[in-house]
Amino acid sequence: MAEFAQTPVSDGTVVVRVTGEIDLAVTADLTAAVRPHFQQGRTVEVDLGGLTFIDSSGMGVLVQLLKESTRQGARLVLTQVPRPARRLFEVSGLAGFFDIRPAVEDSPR
Amino acid sequence: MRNPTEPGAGWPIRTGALVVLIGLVLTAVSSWAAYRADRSTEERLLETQTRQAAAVLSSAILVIEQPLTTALRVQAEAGPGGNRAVFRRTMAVYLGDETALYVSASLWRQDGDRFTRLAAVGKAPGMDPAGGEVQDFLDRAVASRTSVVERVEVGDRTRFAYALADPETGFVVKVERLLPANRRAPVDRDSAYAQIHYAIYLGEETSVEALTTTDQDPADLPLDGLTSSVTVPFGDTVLTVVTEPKGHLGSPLSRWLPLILVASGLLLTVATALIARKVVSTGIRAQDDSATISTLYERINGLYEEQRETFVRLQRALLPHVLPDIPDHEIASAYVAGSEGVEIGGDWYSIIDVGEDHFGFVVGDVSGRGVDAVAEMARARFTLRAYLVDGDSPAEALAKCSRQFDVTVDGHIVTAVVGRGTWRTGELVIANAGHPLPLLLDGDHCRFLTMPIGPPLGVGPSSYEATTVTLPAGATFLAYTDGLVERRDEDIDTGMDRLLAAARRHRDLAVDDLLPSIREDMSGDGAPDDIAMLALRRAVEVGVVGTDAGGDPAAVTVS
Repeated sequence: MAEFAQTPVSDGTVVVRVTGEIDLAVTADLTAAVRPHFQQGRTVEVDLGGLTFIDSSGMGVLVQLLKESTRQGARLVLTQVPRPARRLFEVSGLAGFFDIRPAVEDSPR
Repeated sequence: MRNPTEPGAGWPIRTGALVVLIGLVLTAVSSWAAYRADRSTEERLLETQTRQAAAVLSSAILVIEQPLTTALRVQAEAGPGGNRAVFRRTMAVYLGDETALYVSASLWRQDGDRFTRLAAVGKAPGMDPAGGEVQDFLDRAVASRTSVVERVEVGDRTRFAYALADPETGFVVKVERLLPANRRAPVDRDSAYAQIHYAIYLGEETSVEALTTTDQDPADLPLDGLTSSVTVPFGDTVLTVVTEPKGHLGSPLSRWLPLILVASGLLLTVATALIARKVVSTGIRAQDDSATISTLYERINGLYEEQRETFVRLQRALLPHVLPDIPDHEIASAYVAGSEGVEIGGDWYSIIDVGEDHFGFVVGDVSGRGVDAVAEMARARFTLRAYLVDGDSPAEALAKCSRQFDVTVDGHIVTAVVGRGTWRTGELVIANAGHPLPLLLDGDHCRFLTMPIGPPLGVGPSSYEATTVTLPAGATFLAYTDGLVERRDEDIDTGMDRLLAAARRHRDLAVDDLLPSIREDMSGDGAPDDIAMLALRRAVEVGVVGTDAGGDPAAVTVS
């Protein structure tokens, strides 16, 4: 289960805050929450601060959203990425693809 | 899903009938009680009214008799001869026709055993003054301490003959009084009769012959329904007064209460029956609904089970049935369906004979689950296989594939470890597209193979960098899918550490036992996600087959 809270911010940025787990069950919801904000020149921040789990389906949908945003001239940014998710991006060879901004909670160990 | 033979089928009707029955019984009982109470009240009220009527009648009798008593007293004072003139004068005021007290009056004196008429006034008496009947009548009067009464028919009219005797003087006064024509008396204005019909009979008998007066048509008598009767002394006999209320004597509420109770009781019964029926029907519908829903769920579960079995068969069909023999190498593989969800995943493994001294191998995983994922898996698997068979290196094969897979089109990303091995040397060239790192089990040296990880297939055209490792004799290469290490409540490193520990524990097992043992350590009876595993172990004694066939002994690294 996951929740998606959408907050429009000034200067054409929209923040979609994800709380919970991103797996196969919620990929469609995540796409529906993020995709409508893809417009030329707009930045969509996906705030993963509340993310508790993500699997390959979840990463697949993030990749899909990233590619679509690029195609539509928008920018997809991941913020507040928790360490486990960041590790998963790394071991999946995806870390370099995303524009990942340093997460506040991120503390090196 | 309603089965008519189910016990619940007749419930609404049965319940409705039961409620109706109870309602009818309650209605009947309460209405009957109200009716009885009203009836008893009516009886009591009628009795009271009748007694009042009787009292009025008694006073009327006194009015009739009083002049007789007065006349006798006057005659007694007049002496044995009596005073005929006074008699005629005093009685004359009472004489007349229909409305008068009497129609005739006569004065008699007893002389021995016969009565002599001394005087007579008014109309001709109905009772023949010369006949024996009047003698008997007067005899009775003398014998009685009260007046005597006798009916006398004169033409079509009836009269009452009264006689009152004074035993001491022997005088007897006889009068005749005309009863109303056809016995009908105008309704008495006296309030005692205002609310009742009445019939007055001479004597105890209430036959038409005995009828004296009534407010009814005599043909309609006797009075029926609720009646009351009382007797009033009348000379030597009685008048029987029978009464019947004209309407309802008590309060209207008392009268209508039984009907009100019946009506309201029936309404309540019908309403309750309808409600009960609806409630029961709703209950049964709810039961039916839940039964239907349960059945549907069972069916859906059944369908899911079938679907899952189909997928598993499809999945199994796509996986190699028989792994090719690779000289100097032992191969083991496993595919374990996950416990989570009903749809299977797109995990796979391949061993590919690419001719000469080489073989290819792949362990891959398509994101998502279900038949789409399985189809995508088949595409990925056969595409990679084609490139490998065609002679492409793992990195080349992945790079080519990366141009053919697009997550925005396919909806999936594909991770894979792709390798090309040379059996003679144990050299493995491995490229990785976003896949969990393979393990190398080499005696005490168990480790993850460090290698560059390229992006998964589907992200877009990418290039991959291969790494080369030489498998020592007896060493095992182990690739797997993320289902083996990934758990929701921990990060990936924890799972990978656990895998390393499990691999170290079981490294000495035969390769066929290695995979089940590791898997069991990792997930017990059931992992949530599907798992594919492939193990490749290089024989301890390498070079037994074909080491002389031009192979370079130096390439067979033992380290």
